[in-house]
Amino acid sequence: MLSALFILDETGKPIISRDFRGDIPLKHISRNFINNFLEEDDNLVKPIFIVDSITYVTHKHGDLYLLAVGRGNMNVTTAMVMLGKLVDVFKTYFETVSEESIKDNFALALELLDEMVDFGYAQVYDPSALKTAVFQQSRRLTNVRAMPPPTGAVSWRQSVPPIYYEENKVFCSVVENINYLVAANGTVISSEIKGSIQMDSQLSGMPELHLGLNDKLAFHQSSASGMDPNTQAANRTIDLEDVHFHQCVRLSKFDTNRTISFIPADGKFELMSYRMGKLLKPLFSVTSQSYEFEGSRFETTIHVTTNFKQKSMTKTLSLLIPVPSDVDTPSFETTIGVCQYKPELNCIKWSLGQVNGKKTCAMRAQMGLPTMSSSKPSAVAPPIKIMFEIPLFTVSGIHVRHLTINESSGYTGIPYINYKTQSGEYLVRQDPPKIIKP
Amino acid sequence: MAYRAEEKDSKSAVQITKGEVTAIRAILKDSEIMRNPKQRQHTFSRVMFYVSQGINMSPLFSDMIIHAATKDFVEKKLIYQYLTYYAPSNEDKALLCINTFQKDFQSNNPQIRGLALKSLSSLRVQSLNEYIIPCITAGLTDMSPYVRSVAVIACLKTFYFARDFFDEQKYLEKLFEMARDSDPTVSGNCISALNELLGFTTSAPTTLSSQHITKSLIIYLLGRLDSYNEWHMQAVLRFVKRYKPTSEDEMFDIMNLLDIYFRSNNAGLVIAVAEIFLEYSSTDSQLSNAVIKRLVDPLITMVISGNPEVAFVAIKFILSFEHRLPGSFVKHHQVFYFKWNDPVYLKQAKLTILREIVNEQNWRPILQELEQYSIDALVGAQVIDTIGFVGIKIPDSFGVISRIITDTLQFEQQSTTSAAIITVRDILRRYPSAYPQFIPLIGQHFYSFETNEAKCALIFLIGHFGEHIPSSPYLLEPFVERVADELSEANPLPFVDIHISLLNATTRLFFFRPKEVQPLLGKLLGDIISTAAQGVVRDSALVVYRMLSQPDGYAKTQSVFAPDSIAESRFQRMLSGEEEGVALIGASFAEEEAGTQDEVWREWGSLSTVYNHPEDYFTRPPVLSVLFNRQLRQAEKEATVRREHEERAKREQAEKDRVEQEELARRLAEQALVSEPQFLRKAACSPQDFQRLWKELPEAASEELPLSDPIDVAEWKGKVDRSEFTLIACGGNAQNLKMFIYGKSSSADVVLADVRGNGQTEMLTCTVHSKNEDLASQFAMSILTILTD
Repeated sequence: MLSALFILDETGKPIISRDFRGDIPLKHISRNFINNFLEEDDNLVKPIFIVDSITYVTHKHGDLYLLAVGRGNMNVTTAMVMLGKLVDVFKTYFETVSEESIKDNFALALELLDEMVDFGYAQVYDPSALKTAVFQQSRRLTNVRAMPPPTGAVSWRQSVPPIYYEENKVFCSVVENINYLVAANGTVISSEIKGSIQMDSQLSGMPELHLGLNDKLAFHQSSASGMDPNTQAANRTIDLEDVHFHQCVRLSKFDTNRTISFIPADGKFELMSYRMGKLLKPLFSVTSQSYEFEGSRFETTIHVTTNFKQKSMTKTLSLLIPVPSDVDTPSFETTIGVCQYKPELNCIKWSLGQVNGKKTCAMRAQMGLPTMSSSKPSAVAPPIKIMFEIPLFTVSGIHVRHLTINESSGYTGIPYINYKTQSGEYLVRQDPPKIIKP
Repeated sequence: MAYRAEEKDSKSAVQITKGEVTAIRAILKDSEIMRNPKQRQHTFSRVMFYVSQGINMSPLFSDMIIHAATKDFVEKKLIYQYLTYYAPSNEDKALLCINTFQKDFQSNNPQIRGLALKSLSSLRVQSLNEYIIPCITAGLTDMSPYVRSVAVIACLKTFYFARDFFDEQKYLEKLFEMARDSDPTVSGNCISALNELLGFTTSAPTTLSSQHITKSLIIYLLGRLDSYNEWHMQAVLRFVKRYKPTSEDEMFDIMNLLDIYFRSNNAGLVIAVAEIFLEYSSTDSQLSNAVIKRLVDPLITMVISGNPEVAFVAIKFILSFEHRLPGSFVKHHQVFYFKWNDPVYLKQAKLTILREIVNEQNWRPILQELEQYSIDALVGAQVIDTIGFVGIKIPDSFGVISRIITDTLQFEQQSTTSAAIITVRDILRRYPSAYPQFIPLIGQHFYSFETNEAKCALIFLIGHFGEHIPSSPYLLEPFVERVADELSEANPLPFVDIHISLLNATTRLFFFRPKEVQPLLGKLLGDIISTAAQGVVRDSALVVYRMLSQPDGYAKTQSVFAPDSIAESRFQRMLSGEEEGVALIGASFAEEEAGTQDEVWREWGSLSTVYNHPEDYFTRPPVLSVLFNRQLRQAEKEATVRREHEERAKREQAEKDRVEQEELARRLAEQALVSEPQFLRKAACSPQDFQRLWKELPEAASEELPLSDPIDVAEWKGKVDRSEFTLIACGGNAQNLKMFIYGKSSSADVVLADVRGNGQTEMLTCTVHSKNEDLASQFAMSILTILTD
């Protein structure tokens, strides 16, 4: 359990502080946080630390720090998840969670906290469940019937009064965030897919939903599966390593017959998340060649090839190409897209926009270097970063076969299904520039 | 200057807050403004905002109470929150708000009842307990599950704030009853409360024992586990963890039932399940290993979750697994590669895990990856350190490491290059025969390092592998040349390590390159012996010097400092001792740590794993530690006060002394002015007159002085003769001396003294007869002073 919760600004000054238990002196918390976290030597900073036998659990979000403090041997993961999910709940109310938005919605934030945590114990965290208990604006009691948050078995969805929509629809989007680390020679060092199924439910009553994923999907159960990895590859099954579900999914049903059935929370929520850590083919091949003419100029040529299917197309695609810190007078040539020099990042940003699969684009940049330079070329060059979004495409091949909606009143809801792949952290290493002596 | 500025700032902050409190009070009292709902809410928000910022808003208590009876729900929430904050510091006024709370608790609306109960139970005012407790008890049987769920937590609050009532109302029994409440939130809160109460094993009521955690209760809770929300599930699981299954079948049944919850997207829940699995399998190592394997995937998901704090905790958990069952994560080394935006602490944590999981199969990709990180300005040194660790673990990697180190040494970043040279030294201490891969790079450059440890490492390498470095004497030369300067610095202590290393290195090298090193060694020994202060450096230099200057010194010294046979030498034995030290770093656990580690393992999933210390190490019973801190603070305060008192007293005393001295000096000066011609010089008087006057005049003064020196009759006589007084008669010996002295003041008063010195009792007495008593005592003192001076 938490003793108190703080939301602090960038400098460690409290914006919100909420004392749940009154068992710790709140006076020095902010100062201790500043001393032991913000102003501590980088090498000594830890996100969880203890001062005077009070534990501080921190969570950074944008320009804010969320801080949970407590005595004794608390369940640290629970505390961390509480902080993380608190941000998620705030997001549904304030759009963005920042110093400004919290200050603007101060009373509401306090109200939310009050319902979410009692005496340091998490109570209700589902945004749709909180809706009835928390008022967005000040209202007269006589006008609105205040409702306590639902407490029953379906705690994530209010049943009284029943939710009602004129038009019943549910949006289901499969989003895959991919992390890649590719060596300069094109081999993949590590790749991860962090996939999730995001729902936006706008359905009346208490509907029961069934989600079917493509047959080939073999859920990996490390202890149970005795299958040889090679035969798995031959059958072209998809190896989702670690699947996690929202609380609304009936886990026991999934365990017995692999169906995903649930009464959805109202509004937006993440139904399921999965992970794939197998080494995949890179989505983009990047080759770079740089030359540093010592004391005169820096030249780099980048080729990027899209390796996905031709009919797919990026919605956005851009590359961040690091260059030496002291270049000047940049000039660019590209086959597609535009280049911009970003001196604050020491990078060239090459924005390509929409690019089909199986296509190669090239860029050449030339920049001046000062005659005398203090910086020495290092043995390791920083990597190129690729940012992209590809709609209607998943790297894993996951596919929603059906999404059925059953509700006792018998209405027909319309499911909308969408796919998207986007970059998490896609890094391509490059060789250091060849030095050419004058 | 800076200090003064700060003081000024804090002062103005106080002024601002004081101003704010007054301003807000004015607004709260202004019925015009408070009639506007928007303004009202804004004002209450503002008050709570200042409360949040840690500004004391307590003075507004009575003004806030007036508005507590508001009809607006949002206002109500804000005001109630304010009241619970400051009720303990406004105990007398808190009674005024009880009425409003009680009225709200009778409301038809369950949410208002809940809010009222939540606020009432948080007031923490002893004198109001008689009003609060009935509400809590009534809340437990409220129709609304929401109110019941609030009441259950309120019971837990009374355990802390009204312990008598907690026992009297039998809340503990009620909590056990209500754990079976039809509503999962109520039941879940009961379990949370019970978990906490069970944690107080020592202070728990006697009725509370493990017999309450019955099999039927556990089966009941597990049966409805799906109905709880994810937070209450965690509470239930931690409760189940306290239960000892009666049979193995039961244990496996529970584990089978819980396995699906590893699929929850709430990491806290996943860890809670893991805790039960590890607890139940603690006696069966095979099962425990299977559990660890089961947890590999969920933990990796936590690492790549994109949330650095969660990743950090996950890595701590992984680390504890790697210690328990090494090798579980070796295949997943890519997971621990750095991400672009990883904070430093996460990078450090990743390095520690890479250290653990590197092995014969995966060292190549790991080293390649580590090389990429070596340019990192903040963790570069730790990366190099890790690379060295890989080398010590896997000697096959020397080729690659040598290349990386060579590159690194050319890189102009002190912390990294320092780490690199230390790494080379550590590897070569462990594997001296690997020198061909590392030593050539030493000779390539003149390196300069800032830290002493790096300097020592370089000197060590030059000295101990100098025969393989063509330029070795010239590399040592600059170090030797600096010695004299370093020794003559005010504090040569920081250089001790360097000088010892230099002494070892130069002496050793002397036997391999005698011609080039001799002048160097001579200078070094000369400088140290002539300038160094007494201590280990000088002693060592003297040892070397004396060994070398013996008839067979050359051979003897050589056998110590540069032996042919490595195994025999004392020096090498010392080295091999270090070798063990280096090897120990490789072992995950030192022997003496094992017991503690078992304890940490038993507390897996809690902070113990994160801090890698057992619970006792960082927690104390909350009440006690508060008390203790308070006492400590009190003691500190008292000490400060005492110190201040003492200082003040000292200052005052000093002041007083000074005044007194001045006073004395002034008085003496005055006296001197007045009494300068007090005694006439050598006033004449015959022995007969003396005898007559002695009888006529009364005894006016008598003084005594202890004698420090034996009596010397002649000298004493001389002393009186030299004074302004007249010696009438003198007789006796060193054992018993008698003197009669006559004096006459300027005002014609006569004084007669009978002085007796006793050699046995070592006392000197002086009896004076005179009409003027003041004069007499002055006369007596003068005589005694003259005689003993």
